[in-house]
Amino acid sequence: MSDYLDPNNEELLNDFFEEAQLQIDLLEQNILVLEDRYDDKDAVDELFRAAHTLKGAAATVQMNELAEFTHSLEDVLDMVRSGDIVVDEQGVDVFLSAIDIIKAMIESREEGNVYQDSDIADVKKDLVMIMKGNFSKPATKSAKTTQVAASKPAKIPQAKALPTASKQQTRITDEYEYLELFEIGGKDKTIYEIIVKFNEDTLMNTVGGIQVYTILKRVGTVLKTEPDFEDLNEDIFHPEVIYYIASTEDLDVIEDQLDISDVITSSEILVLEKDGFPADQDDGYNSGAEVFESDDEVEEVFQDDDETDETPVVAVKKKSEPKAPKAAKVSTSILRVESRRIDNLLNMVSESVINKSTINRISTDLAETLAEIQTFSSNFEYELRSFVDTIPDLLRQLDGSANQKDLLAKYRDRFDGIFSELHLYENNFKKNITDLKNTAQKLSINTGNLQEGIMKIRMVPVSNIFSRFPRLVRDLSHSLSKKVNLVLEGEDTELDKSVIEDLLDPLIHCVRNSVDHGIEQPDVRRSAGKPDEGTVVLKASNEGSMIIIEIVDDGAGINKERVKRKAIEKGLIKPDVSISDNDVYNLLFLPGFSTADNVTDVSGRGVGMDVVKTQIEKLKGSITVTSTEGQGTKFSIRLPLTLSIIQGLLVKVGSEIYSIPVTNVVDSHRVSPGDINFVDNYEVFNVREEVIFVVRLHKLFNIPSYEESTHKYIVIVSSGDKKMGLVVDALIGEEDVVIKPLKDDFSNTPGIAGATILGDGKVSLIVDVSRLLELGATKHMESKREMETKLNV
Amino acid sequence: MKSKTDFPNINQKKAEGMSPDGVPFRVLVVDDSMFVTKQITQILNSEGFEVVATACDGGEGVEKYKELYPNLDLVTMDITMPKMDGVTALEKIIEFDADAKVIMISALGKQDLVKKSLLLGAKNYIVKPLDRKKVLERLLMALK
Repeated sequence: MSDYLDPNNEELLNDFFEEAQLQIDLLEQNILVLEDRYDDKDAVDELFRAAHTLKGAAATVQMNELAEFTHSLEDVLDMVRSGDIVVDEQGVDVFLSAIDIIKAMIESREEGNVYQDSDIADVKKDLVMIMKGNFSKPATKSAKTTQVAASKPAKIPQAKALPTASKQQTRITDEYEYLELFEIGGKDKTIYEIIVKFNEDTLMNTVGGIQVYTILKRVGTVLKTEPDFEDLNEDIFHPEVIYYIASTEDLDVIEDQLDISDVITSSEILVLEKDGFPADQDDGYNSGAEVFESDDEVEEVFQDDDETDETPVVAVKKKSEPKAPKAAKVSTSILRVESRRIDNLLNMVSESVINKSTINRISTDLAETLAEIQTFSSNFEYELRSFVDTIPDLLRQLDGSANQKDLLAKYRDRFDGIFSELHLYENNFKKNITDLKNTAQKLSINTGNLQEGIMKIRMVPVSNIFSRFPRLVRDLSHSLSKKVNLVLEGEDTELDKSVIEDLLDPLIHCVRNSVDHGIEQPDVRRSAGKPDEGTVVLKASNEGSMIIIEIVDDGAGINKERVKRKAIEKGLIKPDVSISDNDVYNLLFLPGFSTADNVTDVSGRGVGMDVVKTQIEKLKGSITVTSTEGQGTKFSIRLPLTLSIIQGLLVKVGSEIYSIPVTNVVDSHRVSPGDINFVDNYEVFNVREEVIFVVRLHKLFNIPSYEESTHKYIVIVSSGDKKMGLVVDALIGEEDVVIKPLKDDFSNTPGIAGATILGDGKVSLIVDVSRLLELGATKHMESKREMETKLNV
Repeated sequence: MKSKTDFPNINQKKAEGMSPDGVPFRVLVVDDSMFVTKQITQILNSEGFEVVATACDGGEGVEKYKELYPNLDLVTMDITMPKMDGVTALEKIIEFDADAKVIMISALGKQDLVKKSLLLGAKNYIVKPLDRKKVLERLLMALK
């Protein structure tokens, strides 16, 4: 196509995919709006615009299959827009499946393939059905038919123009008409007759007539056109148009203006003389062979066009043969960032540049001081040496009972200068140290801001993923014949992009669960005194450095007894154990657990909630569920804002320093060895009437803890609703730590989430609290079981 | 070593996006599609034009025009845009500056709107998908 558009222009392609996704989201959202109100005009306009934009973009990156498909979608939407057809439920379904195809097309392109599937034909047929089914007027609105219409009637004016005059002769056949031109044109103006032949091969070939009209209007007054203005304004291609204008400009100027080479094939300008109307017009009608020849040429052109120009999109297709599929999937991880955020960052960077120059100044100051001290010290050395040299002499002088006072004064004078110099240096140092302290303070504020600013860049609103749910819930409720109203809240809440991407699947699962298991059938709801329509709320909110996402439904709630029964059946718990409500709910997250009696394709295969849980935990988050029977269920997901930087509590274990994520830390205690008790062979610790199971980190990680000091520290950590105490040698303090993932062989070390580099360059391992709790718990269980079997034997 | 003069003057072709005295033509690009905007910018920059501003809907386009006026030479205006469409924006710009050089960018099938724009005073139009040669040709024609 065009030379600059290299199909390997990845930057452009990435932009395209990004934008396509936006448009698809728009399409989907608005179709769902349309489903509620079939006559929502704004939604239709938006839909049309999105389809249109998508089509344009697709054609540019030579995604012809998509361009063609969206084109037919656009046709239908156009008819909806003009009110020719009305969308009904069936229509919405067809639109949605059309969007699915568009998605599939984009997906396969991203993978480097071209989408080829028979679905297209089916959906296209449906689209056409919509057009025909409710359609009364002739289909002139569709661009496809317009094209046909454009090329056929086009021959008629040609036939009219058949009596072509030989050159330099006016086409006007009526003398009265001829004279009328001079009448309206005005006396002091030249009347021109301009015959323009248009190129049919340009895109939008029907626009040319008007384009020339507007150009000529700039140089003079357009008196008359043939065919007349109304016809030019119709969507019909006229191969030849004659303009009559009155102008004061020279012929050259007009000719120059008409230089629109790709639209016009030729133009001919005649100057009409007032009394120059040819007497024998009849000649014009019979100029014979020449005329027919030219007509043949035109015929040929038309035939050509019939082959190539069915629709504009097909024409494009011809030029670009499908390329060899690209092997690598084009990565589309592009972040859209508000420019304000980057401006902020720039501000901070300039601040840090100022800090840098302050530090530079301090360091030059210090270097100068050092040089001065060096000269001073060599001076001092010299003075001292010469003083030592004078000692024997001095002693002799003292022996000779010289005046002690005089001597003292002499030497004081000698060393006073040196002392005052020393004072100067001291002051210099003091000043530099104050400066340095100030700058360090500024720098720490500055880097803090910078860190926050950069984190903000990675923040995207959750609406990015929330926007997929209306469609999901709609489809789901249809297939389950339930009535569900999805409410989205807090869509502006922002989360790190990497978190958001991994959050989608777990969220989908939870929402599906709510719709499938939570919300009851309308008749069941009615008899329970609830409205037919169930409500599912998907809500995001901020809480400190955590994001809370809640999925709340007003459905049947969780039947605790059934959960317990199921758990016993599956051997997950013992029948006689009494467990708390919370623990009952947590059973749902165990692998292989499902209370659904029938496996549907929506959920209930038991591969669900445990996967959700592991995924959330991978994101350093936690998930809990609460429920009231008969009233509904609430899933709460807590997530850290970002994964890459956490607040860590630095603790000392032996000679090593470990970081414990502050979000997991409940509190810490200074304890003497006596405070730790033994229960069942386990070390436990009592905090406010709660017994907490204790683990010594140095034992866990096999570190010699040589400091058998009298006091230890216990850091109480929690994840979800489990708690545990970690025994460490000392607490160092809180610090922001940047998590570096551990590679290869170390990546599976249980209990270690990663490493970080401390201010002094030392490496500190980050404790993975949730994993540790799991380990502790399973160990606990195992040994308990062992004990029990021992006792039984 | 060969001196510069030994090579034929490939690079002596004057960039088309400059006025005869070598000052780049200043262009305002109005398009709701970031992608198209980028594309136009790529084309224009390669020929030495200067894209002085971009706007993503008609209203913003009109505002930017007023802001920049008279320090710009050309506007490319998408026809279908949210909030304020290109034709309305064109009308407002022409109302403000009758000599404004506005080039409409249109997708296929918008003949009626293109005609309307031309009658309202648009200097030319370009049909999407954009073709480098055509874009340059039509922009330069309007600048002539």
